[in-house]
Amino acid sequence: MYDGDIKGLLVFGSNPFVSGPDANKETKALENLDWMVAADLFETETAAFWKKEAGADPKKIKTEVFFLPAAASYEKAGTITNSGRWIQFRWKAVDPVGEDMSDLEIFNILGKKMKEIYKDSTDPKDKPIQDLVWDYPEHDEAKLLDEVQREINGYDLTTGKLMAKFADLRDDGTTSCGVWIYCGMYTEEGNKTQWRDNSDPSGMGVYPKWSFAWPANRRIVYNRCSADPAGKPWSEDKKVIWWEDGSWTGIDVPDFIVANAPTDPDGDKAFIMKDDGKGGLFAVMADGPFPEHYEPWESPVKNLLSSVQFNPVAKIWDTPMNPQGSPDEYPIIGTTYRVVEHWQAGIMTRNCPWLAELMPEAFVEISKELAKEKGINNGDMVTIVSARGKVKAVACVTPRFKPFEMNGKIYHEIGVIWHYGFQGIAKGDPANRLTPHIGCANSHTPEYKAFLCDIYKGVK
Amino acid sequence: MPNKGYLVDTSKCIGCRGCVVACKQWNQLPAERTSFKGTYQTVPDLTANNYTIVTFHEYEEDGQIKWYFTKRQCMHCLDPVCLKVCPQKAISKTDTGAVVRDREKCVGCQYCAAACPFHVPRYDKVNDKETKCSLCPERTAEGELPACVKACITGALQYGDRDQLLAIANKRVSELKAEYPNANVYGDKQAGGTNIIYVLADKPEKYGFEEDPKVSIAITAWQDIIQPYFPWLIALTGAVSVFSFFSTRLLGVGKEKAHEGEGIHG
Amino acid sequence: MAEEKRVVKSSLGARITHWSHTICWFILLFSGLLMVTDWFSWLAPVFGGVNGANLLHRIFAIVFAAVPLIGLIYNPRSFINWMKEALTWGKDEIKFMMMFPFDLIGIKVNMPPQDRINAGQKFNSLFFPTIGLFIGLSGVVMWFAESFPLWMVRIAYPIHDLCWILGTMQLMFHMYLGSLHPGSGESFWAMFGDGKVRASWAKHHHTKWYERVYGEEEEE
Repeated sequence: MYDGDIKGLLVFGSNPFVSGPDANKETKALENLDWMVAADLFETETAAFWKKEAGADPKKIKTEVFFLPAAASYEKAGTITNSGRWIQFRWKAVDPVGEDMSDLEIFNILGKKMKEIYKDSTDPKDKPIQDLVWDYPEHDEAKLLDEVQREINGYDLTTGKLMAKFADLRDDGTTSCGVWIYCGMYTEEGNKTQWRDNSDPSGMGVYPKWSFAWPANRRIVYNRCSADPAGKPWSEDKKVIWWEDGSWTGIDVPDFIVANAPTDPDGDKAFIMKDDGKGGLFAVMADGPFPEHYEPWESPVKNLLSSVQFNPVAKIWDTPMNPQGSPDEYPIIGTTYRVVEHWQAGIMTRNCPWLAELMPEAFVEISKELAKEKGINNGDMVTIVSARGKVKAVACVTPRFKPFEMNGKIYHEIGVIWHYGFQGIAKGDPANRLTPHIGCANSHTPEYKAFLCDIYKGVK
Repeated sequence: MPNKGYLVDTSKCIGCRGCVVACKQWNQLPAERTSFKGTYQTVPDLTANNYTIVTFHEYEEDGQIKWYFTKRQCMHCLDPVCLKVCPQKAISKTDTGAVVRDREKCVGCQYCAAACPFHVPRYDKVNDKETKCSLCPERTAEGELPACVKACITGALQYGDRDQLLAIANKRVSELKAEYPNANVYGDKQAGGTNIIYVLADKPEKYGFEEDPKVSIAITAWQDIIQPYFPWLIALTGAVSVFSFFSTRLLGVGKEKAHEGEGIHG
Repeated sequence: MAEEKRVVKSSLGARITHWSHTICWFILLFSGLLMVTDWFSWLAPVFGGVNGANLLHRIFAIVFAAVPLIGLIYNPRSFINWMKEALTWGKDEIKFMMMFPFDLIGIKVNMPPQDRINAGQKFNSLFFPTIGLFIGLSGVVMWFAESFPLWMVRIAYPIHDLCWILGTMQLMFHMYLGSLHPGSGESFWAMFGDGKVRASWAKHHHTKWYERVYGEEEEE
């Protein structure tokens, strides 16, 4: 997008102006767009990136921005999936305000419009859009949601019946399924994401009938491990599945071939997704297998624990607007974090008066020692600069921050509160203007938590 | 009915201020414009729109950082002086000992604000009413927890019978003593005892509380001496005047006096 | 009979202050009582409810404070002279005060000669401004309670109460002595009317003053 290759952006419930890892660059990239469709509860900084308050010159920006008011989670039904793999249905509590719509309904209308536009096209690249089945009902969110959920689960295309489990899915065109791991969540027995039986026969917090857990409503993966090689639970108190009367049974759905007896050749290979069926202490990842300490990309010190300064397999985007700062110019260690009063990029909470009252503006926490050195008093307005950008914040001078002594030298650290932007009630500069565009070796999660910077009193 | 209140176990408080927002939400109190002035305590003191606040106290002692949080609100005294000074009888106690105010009767005289040994009631200029926490009697009457207690995620707030809360508090303090030698129970005796009981990990002053808050002598003199007895002086004067009216005339002095001086020009 | 000669006892300023304060005092008293106790709630409709009383109390408090302040600015000499008079105490004044209780209940006593204002009135002249000052100051503190330190607010309430109680007590006394008590008629009507009293009455009741101001005139 920064290079101008991407022309359009749909941005739903996301606010990269505030949350982007190198927010200055992300903001600059938005200027290259022809159009943007933003949907959120309130106008986000991203949707208003072209405004004067954003530091932009509206006259020079050609991007056409469409802002769609979106319904909040309490104003729509749907599911949420947690890290325990439970897909839980949530019912609507109140009707949306004004013209707000659920994201699903917005996409439904967009899809229908798109099909309409490309209806008569003869361009072969439009064929996928023309072939797309998009026959959802309009203006009936409950029915729309129900149909999409059924589609995610999948049908037997011959009988029209919902698929019962992913094992029944076929690759011969006789069955359909949106997401195979979710197959079984909505069967002919009903919508299992709506299950609300909180009984726990195991006493271990398994709750097999509370919502649906992917895959196959299995609550504990590799649960064959709960039984010894002979199929007997290791512990009477912690039994999950066991071998009984010629099959695996128990309080959870066995994560094992049910008829595979302990005495069978693979009867003790509990880790069925692994090639050798065995568990491993190390997983295959970009770095590892042994843990190693590397300094951050920007660090004021030499790595004393390893001869290698920085993780050689971390992802660094060698692109414009992502310069690396040097400790000579930026001697202070910076980090960013949150406050309980605000949520992520803050567009929901910074617009909530009660929360804005409690955390009204951006601030930076610094030690008394650094404050003395820099002539900063508690409550002063200060500026923090990094190689990539600068932000203003209120200084919070606190004994909770202490200088580090490393390799015989004193190093200072500051903590910048994140969340803020120029929209809403609680305002401030986005701390991510300071952070670099680099990603961890495995997940490419940006290095938000360590960078080099400097701080001075006043705003200029 | 036994006295009910809640326990504020500051050793379990994480300063999230969920209680503050829950209170404002339940009582529909508008937010106030604030600014960050170098402390997380962006609402410096109780206001007419903040019946409860969380106070933040930061100390560095012997190389150790201490960051104490506590909740402040009406203490719901067993013998509330606000109730005594209220000229309109707008303040009363519920059968569980919650000190509540009748908004209709309140005339905004602010006597309660001055009398309160914990300096809790706040004047709402817009509506000319005094405001404070009422311990959510409309919720507790329905078997619900007070809004703040309901919102507390760490168990730092616990609603119940005062006697039981005191037992829990004493037990908790004895647990804390090893790590916090100054830990104490607050509210058991202060100002004659309160329905809100605190477990403080350190001396009360470290939390911005007075060690032994008392009703001011000025307020006691005013309520117990001046108001009940002094108005009788007016009646006494009236009586003396009436007596004089008749006695002067009966003794005939009046008659003489009334004509005094007339002789000169007579 | 020729019209008897009349002498000025109370100046216009004194009379305006006196009567405006009298009116204010009663309005303040009753509107205040309404706030202080619910015994007087039957009076509430007169003031437009307790909140109305609250408002009136403040309005008349301003009038109460403004009248003497304006007078003071307009004619400070008059006030200074009055205070000088009130503060001048001699043997005659003390004697007057000691004999006053007998006079009050009607036992015939020979009162020592008095100035324009007698010892009792001197006491009154000191008493009411003091009460006025304290009730005013404590009232300001009570009105703007949030702007004053707590200890000040806490003592303001008993002071305000003490002031209105003692003030009303003295006022009742003053009302009786100034009207129905034998011999007060002249001063009473003087306060009501043009401030003048019969010269003969003045000579008897306020001998020293009469002698000093009008004595020479008479000799001529």
